[in-house]
Amino acid sequence: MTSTWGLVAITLVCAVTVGVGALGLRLSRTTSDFYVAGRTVTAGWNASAISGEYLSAASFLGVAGIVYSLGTDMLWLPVGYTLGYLVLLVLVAAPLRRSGAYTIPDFAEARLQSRRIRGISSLLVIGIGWLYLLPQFQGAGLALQTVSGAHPAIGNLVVAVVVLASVAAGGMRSITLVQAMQYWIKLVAIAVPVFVLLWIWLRHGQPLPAISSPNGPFTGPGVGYAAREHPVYATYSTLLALCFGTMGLPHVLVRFYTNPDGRAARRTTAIVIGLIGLFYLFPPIIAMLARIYLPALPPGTRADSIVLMLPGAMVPGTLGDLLSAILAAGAFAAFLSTASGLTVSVAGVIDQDLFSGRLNRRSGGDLPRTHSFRLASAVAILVPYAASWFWGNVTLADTVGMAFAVAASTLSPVLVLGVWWRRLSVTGAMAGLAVGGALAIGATVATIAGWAGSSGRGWAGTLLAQPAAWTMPIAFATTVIVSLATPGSVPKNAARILVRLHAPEEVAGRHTDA
Amino acid sequence: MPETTPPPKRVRVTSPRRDARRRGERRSDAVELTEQTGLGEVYLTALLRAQLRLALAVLIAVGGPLVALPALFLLNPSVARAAVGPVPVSWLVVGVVVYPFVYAAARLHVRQSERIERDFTDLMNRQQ
Repeated sequence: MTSTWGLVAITLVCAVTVGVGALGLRLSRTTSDFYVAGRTVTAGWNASAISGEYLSAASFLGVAGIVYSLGTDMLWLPVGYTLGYLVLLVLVAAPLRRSGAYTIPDFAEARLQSRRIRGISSLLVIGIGWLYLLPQFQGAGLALQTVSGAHPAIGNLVVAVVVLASVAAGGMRSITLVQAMQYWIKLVAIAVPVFVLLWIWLRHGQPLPAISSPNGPFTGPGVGYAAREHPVYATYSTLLALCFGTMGLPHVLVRFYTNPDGRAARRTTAIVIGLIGLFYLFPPIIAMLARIYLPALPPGTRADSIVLMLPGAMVPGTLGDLLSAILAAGAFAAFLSTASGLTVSVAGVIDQDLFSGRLNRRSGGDLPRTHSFRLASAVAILVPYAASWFWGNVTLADTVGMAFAVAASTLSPVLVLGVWWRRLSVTGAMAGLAVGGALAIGATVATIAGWAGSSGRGWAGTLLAQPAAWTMPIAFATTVIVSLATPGSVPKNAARILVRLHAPEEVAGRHTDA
Repeated sequence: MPETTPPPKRVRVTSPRRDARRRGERRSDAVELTEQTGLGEVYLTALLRAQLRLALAVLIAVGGPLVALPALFLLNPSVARAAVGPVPVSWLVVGVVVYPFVYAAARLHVRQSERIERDFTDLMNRQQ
């Protein structure tokens, strides 16, 4: 399927992204601007930006693809992506903002007063960020291939270059602008085609896909994971990972710093829940229509590409091409925005924790901060780009799911207990990170290497493919038990830090130094 | 972001001195309370408890029904197979109804936790 429209649409999205990024460059001057837009972002813009950044390839292509191939149970995926923000809102949103931390390692260090905790969480942030960046590259390659027939490697390269250009050029300020815009591009790019296609479907008068059949494999709940074993466990475990993993994703906390205070952070999160919920109404409709019009996938096609193939299958000709071009533009906006957000936050961590000291020593302090940030951006994006060449045939939603599971089993206990529990000790946090990290990363590696997840492996395979249900409770329990056993390593000013985290700004003061 | 005017020249002090001083004083009130009197400790513990109770209440109110749904569909397939027009109930609930429900819960939480904070602030101000 070759489409000039599609290429034009993708080029337009890329050009706008770089263009707005360059506009931001004229506005961003200092390092603080570079990272967090100098904290001048309003709640509405910020919520759009957070949603724009959050709705990734997995949301735009992956959700429809996985609902199409595995059925009703997969509707829980977008629900979980949304619930993650509710958990974030009620457990950590305002306190994290009040902690004054830019990044998760910043928070961990401020709360526990330990450089080693900072180091471990930096490594985890970088690892989770890279795991999450991978499917963005894959998705971009897939989209470009579906629209133009180009080799997937070209799509990967386009995303890598555009993201690097806009991140290195403008940093977070331009990214906030770009991200906010990307949300609306994505919403329009999925809503308009869905309404047109629904209207065409109504005119065709086609029936719903096997929806009325009593044991239809597509719409029957509890059978959606049929390709996998133990569907109920898998559903709950995935939901748990999504609920608690969101707060641990590297690109999420960074955004919260752009809110002026804790109250604004909460309000922003509530708007985000509305915005992403609105978006998630659409992908399942695409999956349903694709079941009617594309009952079987052409050989060699991945289910992730049905979003782009559906218009052509329903209305061959110009209208189909046009709709598919709009969807391709939306998908590209999704890769660009998520990849940019992740790159900014991963680069921020690489820059602060790995580079800055060393580079400054080498250059005798001459090197401007923004230069080392640009170098860090290049590293942040090149590693997953290179890895995307070797990545196995894991679906987009699955790879993203693993990033969530690792985040839920490592950073989330430190964040939640750090915010609410006075007796969290440095040793306890360290033990939790180590145990949760070893288990979740081990399970992920096992799944990627193909030792788990495929059918016929029984409980062992299922437990490894959806690890959160056991790795997360173990991580939480380890943190709590070890903390209780080592009261000596509880930071001395823990109570004072909790004041700052929970007391409203007008009481605690915005710049309290703990 | 509606910023079309050229960026203003950067200066370090961005708020009037008077405001900065007042903020500093207030902060020390709160911090002193927690450090020197047992009272601050009590207030803070109360604030923390109230917020935690609210957070858990919201999580249970939203999580409870959602955890029950897959089990309900599984144990009682006829519920899942019931349909409103051509659309099965399970799709309608998990695909559509969940979102406004979660959004409403989020709005409720924001309102309630701001109320808790207002009460706390009033309490602190009365102590001064």
